[in-house]
Amino acid sequence: MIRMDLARHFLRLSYALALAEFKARNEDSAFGILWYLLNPLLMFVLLLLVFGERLGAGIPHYPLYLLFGIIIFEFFIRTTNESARLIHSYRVLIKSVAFPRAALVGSVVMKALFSHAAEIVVFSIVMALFAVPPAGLALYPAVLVLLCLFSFGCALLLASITVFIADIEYVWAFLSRLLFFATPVFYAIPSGSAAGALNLANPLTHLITVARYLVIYLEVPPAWAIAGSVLSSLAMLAAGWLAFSALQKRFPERI
Amino acid sequence: MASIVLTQVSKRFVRDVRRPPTMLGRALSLVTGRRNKAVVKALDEVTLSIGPGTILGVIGSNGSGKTTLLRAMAGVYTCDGGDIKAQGKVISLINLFFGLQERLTMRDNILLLCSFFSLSRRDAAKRVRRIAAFAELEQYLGTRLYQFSAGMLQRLVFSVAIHSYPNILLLDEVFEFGDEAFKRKSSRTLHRIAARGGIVVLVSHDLALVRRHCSRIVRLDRGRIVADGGTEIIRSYLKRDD
Repeated sequence: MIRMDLARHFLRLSYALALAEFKARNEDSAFGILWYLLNPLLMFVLLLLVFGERLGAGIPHYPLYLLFGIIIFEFFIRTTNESARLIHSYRVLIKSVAFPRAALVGSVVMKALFSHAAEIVVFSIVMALFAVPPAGLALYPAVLVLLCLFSFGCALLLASITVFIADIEYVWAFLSRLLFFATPVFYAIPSGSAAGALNLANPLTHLITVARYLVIYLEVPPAWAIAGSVLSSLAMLAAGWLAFSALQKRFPERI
Repeated sequence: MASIVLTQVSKRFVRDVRRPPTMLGRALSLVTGRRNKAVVKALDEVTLSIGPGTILGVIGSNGSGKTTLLRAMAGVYTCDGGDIKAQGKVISLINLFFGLQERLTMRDNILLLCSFFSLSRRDAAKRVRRIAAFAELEQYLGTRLYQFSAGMLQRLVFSVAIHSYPNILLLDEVFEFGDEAFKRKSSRTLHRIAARGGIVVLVSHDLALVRRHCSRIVRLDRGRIVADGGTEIIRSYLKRDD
């Protein structure tokens, strides 16, 4: 019963914080949510122009393949980058009130979901332009749940460790750039290659692959990608939750 | 009925005594044995039982452990030793400006603050007008907070806290603001919380304020309770200063 109350408080608080932050950020902006779309769209146009001919030649519906990869990757990066400095930015709150502190990280994921929803609307318009049936989008929430769990776990881990090792924020900013190039966002890895085998260790590869199969190609994703998505999401969630639970008791005296 | 029982509660802090060293400095300190940290006992085996209907004043000099005690009661700090049992809904006002979003309206901020105090959005929405009316800010519901004075913000946060129906209200130097009428209204509210079986813990350097409101007073010194009783505690505290 107490656990149910805590879970409800966690979800309510995450939502309230996400909504407040989202509103506050867009309050004085003339274009509001359009600014969130600008970054992925700009990246999409640039990569399409630079790599479209060379890397996209053998990939069916390459523009959709690229755009979907970008917006899924952007969701993960937005969540984790913001979480790396989250606890310090809420220091007054953390030292004043007892509340489920993981809700701060939960709010970052929810806020990323708001802008992700807008990106999915843009993506569905591009799908229509390429005459790809939108039926696959109905299955996307299943992948999105896994993506949220994976991002939430990773964000919990980063948020808690950064309190004790400030350099993690900079390390993560660097690693996330590397991760972009290590993930098949704008290219495809030939199956059976050494790079393909190496990329099995990258959970984002699994999630993006499953999403593309379901939404763009309307096909059943490979078993390795489904298994990898589920297992890595649950493992990251468990690791993040355990680290955050163990370290959060010391947050108020470290910030 | 509300209650708080602290049994031999201890809290230590590790403080920097010199500038935090770089990675190289840390590595060298392993060889040289030079320590850059010191352990400070903020609470030292504090035992305290507060029953329903109490307005407890906590006094003591700077660094005596008053705010640490309040944070421990609120659940902000995890204690190194001992045990704290609180029965009832605890609401702490340790810093009045926590969680506020200056770019949002007062209505949005009320909804946000209520969510920290475990109220659902629906419950909070029902109380928005009452909260604004108590703070005497009804006409500013649609005004963004950066246009508020510090006094208006204090009245707002205090009003949200008491409309979240606390059984245990913890206040750190954040009481008696606004004009005389508002002070009297706040004071009546605190006494009403106590009268219906709640607890108010008031940490303050303002001894006149503590004498006026508190039925029981404890004095802290270096993390220990050195006196526990009525207003005579204040007299002995003042004599010590003389």
